[in-house]
Amino acid sequence: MRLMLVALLLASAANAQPAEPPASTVQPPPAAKLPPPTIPAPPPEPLPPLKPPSAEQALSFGAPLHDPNVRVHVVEPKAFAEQGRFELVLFPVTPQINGKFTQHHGTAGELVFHLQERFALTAFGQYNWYAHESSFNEELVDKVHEEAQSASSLLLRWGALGGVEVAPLYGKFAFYDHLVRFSFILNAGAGVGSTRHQLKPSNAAGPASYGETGTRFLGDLGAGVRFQVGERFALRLGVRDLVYTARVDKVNGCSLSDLHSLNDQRLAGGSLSSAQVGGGCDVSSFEGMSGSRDRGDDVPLAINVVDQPSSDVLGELGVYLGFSLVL
Amino acid sequence: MDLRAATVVMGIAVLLGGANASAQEGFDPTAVRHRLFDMQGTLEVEPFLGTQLFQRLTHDQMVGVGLAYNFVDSFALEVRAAYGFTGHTGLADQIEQQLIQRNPGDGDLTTVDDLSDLWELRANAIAGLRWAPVYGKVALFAETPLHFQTYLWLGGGVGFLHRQSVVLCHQVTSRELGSCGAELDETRAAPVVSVALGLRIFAGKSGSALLELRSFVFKDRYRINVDRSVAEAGGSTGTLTGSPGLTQVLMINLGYSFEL
Amino acid sequence: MRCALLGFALWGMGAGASAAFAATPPQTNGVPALYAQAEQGNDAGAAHALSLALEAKGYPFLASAYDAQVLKLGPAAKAYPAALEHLVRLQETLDDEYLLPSLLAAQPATALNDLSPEPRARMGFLTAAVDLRRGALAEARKKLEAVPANAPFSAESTYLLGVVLSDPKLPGGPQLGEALKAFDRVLKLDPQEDPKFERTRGLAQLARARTLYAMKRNAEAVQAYQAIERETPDWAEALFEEGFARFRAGDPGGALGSLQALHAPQFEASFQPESWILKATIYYFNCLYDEARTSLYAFDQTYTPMMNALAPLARGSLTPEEAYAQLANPETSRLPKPVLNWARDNERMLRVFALRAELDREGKRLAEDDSLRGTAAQAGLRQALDDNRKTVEQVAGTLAKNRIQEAYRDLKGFTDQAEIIRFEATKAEKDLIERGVDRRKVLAAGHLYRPASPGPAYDYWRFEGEFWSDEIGHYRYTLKNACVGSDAPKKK
Repeated sequence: MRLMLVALLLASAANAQPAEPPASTVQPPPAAKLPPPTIPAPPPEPLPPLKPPSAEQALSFGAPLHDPNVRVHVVEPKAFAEQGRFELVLFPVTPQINGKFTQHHGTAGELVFHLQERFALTAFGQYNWYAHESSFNEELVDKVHEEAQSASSLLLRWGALGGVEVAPLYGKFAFYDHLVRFSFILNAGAGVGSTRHQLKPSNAAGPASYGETGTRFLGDLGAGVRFQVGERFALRLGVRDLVYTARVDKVNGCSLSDLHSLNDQRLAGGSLSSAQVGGGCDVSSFEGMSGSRDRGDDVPLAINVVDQPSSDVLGELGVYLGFSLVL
Repeated sequence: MDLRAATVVMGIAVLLGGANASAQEGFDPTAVRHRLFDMQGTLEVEPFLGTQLFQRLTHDQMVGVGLAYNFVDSFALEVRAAYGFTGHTGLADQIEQQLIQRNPGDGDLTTVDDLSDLWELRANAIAGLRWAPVYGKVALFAETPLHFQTYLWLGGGVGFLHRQSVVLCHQVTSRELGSCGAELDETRAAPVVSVALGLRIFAGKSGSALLELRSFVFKDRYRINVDRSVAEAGGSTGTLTGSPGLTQVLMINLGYSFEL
Repeated sequence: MRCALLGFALWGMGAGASAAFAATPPQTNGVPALYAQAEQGNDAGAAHALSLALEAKGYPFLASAYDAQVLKLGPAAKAYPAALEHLVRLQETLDDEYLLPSLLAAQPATALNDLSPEPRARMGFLTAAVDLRRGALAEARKKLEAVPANAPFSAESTYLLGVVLSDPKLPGGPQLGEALKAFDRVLKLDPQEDPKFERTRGLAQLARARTLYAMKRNAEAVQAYQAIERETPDWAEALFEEGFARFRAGDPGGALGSLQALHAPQFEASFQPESWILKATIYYFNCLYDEARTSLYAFDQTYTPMMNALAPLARGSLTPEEAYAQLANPETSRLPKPVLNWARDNERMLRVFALRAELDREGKRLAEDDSLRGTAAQAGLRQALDDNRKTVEQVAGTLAKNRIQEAYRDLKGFTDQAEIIRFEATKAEKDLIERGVDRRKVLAAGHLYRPASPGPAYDYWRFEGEFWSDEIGHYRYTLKNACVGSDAPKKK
């Protein structure tokens, strides 16, 4: 329906009749004709002017923020869907940040299977290529002849865990004009890890020596952020705590009594392999030479480690910066 | 009503490039427009509490306040002052105790070097530049977005330090128990460098919560070749080491910023 | 032949004298010699040879002018086929989509027979575009269907074929199904090195969406609009048309969301007046009359000042030269920025602007060309440039003026539509009041829910007034419907 303008028709006045020759030169004006008997339409009434909207109706760049009848939402597709995809993660360097008596640096890898968009199964492995007692512990030994209890200075060589990962929160940020989307991730897992203990520190007599202290149950808890970079790459940054129980009662599989037997044999000048030890004791780890040093000298050091029973729960808290390939 | 929506006659785009130019004119690719939280030109007061992370020989709990002016959205100048409640950890006490139990008169650890990283940051006053290039939001339980900024802070100032030795005891009260009545206590003021990584969570137009990891670094200072017998007799002993290294105090601070 | 004048619009097929074709290789006779030969002997062959020489020296526009001179003699001239082929090649060099194609379209149909296959196909493609503009759709279709599939411009010609097939004025009626197939063929092509390929793909995607809309396959149309890449030249248009498609598909919230993208600050410099009209319409159809009026108010606040700024330019004595100056120099233009952006958003016009710039470039080069300095050829070529410049300037200015006037006419038309909506909304409100319906109660009883999530690979954000660039195009509205019983307006 459109507004129709009513056209007004006005008849023009009829022509004037010719007048008789006037007596004078001044002629009276011709008589006006009557207009047609029509009632003119009233002029169209203009619409009331546009009023500014009320506070409720006010728009912010076209969006009604306060209108109770309308609401704006954002339903945004994820840049790249992850469900059903595998992700290979490499953490080239994983430095420990809570090292008190020990210090670990390692390399880790993880295989993640995204079961759903925000839930994944993980398989994680880490090898600590640097696992030593810390410089703080060495300072205590050097200066005040004190050191941490054995359990508190247990070293983690490697760990393998299976677990889960959830991404309960998602977000985005702008770094100047670059937009990055990320998700917060929480992970947890359980597995095993191999431990050892330092027997002799690195000094003038030679490099450090270690004794194996067996595998332990390993748990991990972690949190971090994951940034998707393109369809096939991602970046991960977080912290992860590898937790393991530390109770040192054997070194290289040898208990305290085994070690005493070995030490007696050593002091008597005999061969360590003829000592009476338990089946799990790895005598060969105390035999032979390590550089110019007799490995049998580790026996009394191993006795020191297991002599006073100690236990602890250790956590290796590390920073994990990883690069992912999403398959 | 003959509205176009009802009877659209779609004009098919004619000709190559007839409809549009080669670039998307009219679109501004700025990442975020009409930000809800803009710090530019704001003055903030930020009280905070902090505690030391990864304690070894000392512990530190701080309370302080900062005053910052954001001259642009991503840069601010800040001054901060804090007081620390500090002391030795149980490990330091245990080391001291076990050392005192060794009698230097018996030749047991007669000469020792003092331990590093024993200085406590009792108070500090620092100033620095804060750079907050990251502005973002997190969907909290898929409902309310939480807006945040992350920042880097770099600056320095002066630290008021206190140190109590664990090897220099001037008065042994009990050898058996390993207790000392008068350790060497030192205080000094020293330049301090501070670096922080922080997260600001906007709580509304007038304030925001601040969570940061802050590191204080200053030069260490301790004595070596301390003769414990001389020290226990009340004498002066030991020399300052020439290369003491640096001490780092890593704090986690939680604060709130009030915009003035 | 002093005046190598290009009269593109009314190009005559004048017989002229056929001239002997002097197949003089340009490398043996320089430009001055060829010029003299062409001028003195009225030698068409020399004119074509001059064209080749000019092209070799970096004067493609002048080269085309001398080939055009040969074409004026008609197919009887021996040099005609060579000149025609050369002109087809020069069109590609100059990337002109208006003047030279129009000149080629004016040649007789039999002229194609003497061309070798590739220039023949290309000429058919170029003249098809002219036929399309002039409404000769059957002719355009025939030429486009003759373009071989392996031609370098086959993507563009297939797209154009789709456009022809979907035109309502096609004899026998539009063939939308065939048009859709043509667009799909373009979209299935592998990426090509041709720099225009991506542009053609974008256009094909947009045209596909429009065709689906015309076929009333609304849901598919929406998907096709959403497939258009972000921040490409067609994106804003796609967002707007997606609004129509969603509205017709019965998704007012989605429609309003698509339109909201165009009102974000990132699109502040975009010209989208009709988006407000559509928004108001959608609100009207949901009996949200306050919201409809708010949209019209926003339209009024944004576009009435623009219309008033355009009025003196559009209605007054704006010369083509002034219009050209407004559009060719954005930094100094007096036009409102959104109008300027929209007016410049025409590839054909911009190519003519580029042609004008090419004339200036060749003029400057001519003045600095030592090999021609002081020769009769230099003077003659300069005269040719000047003569052609007038035409090109006139064409460029006319296109620019038309664009500005079109912007004004559009705004005027939308302003009228806004008044209609306002009237209807007021009338509908009065009707409800007279019937005793309390709309506020109806609205208060309604609820607003979150929109359904299409799947787990979607993130939801509550909108709070902040505009993130990656969210543009993903807004969704939820709105109440205040229509009571049979009050709901019917879509026609």
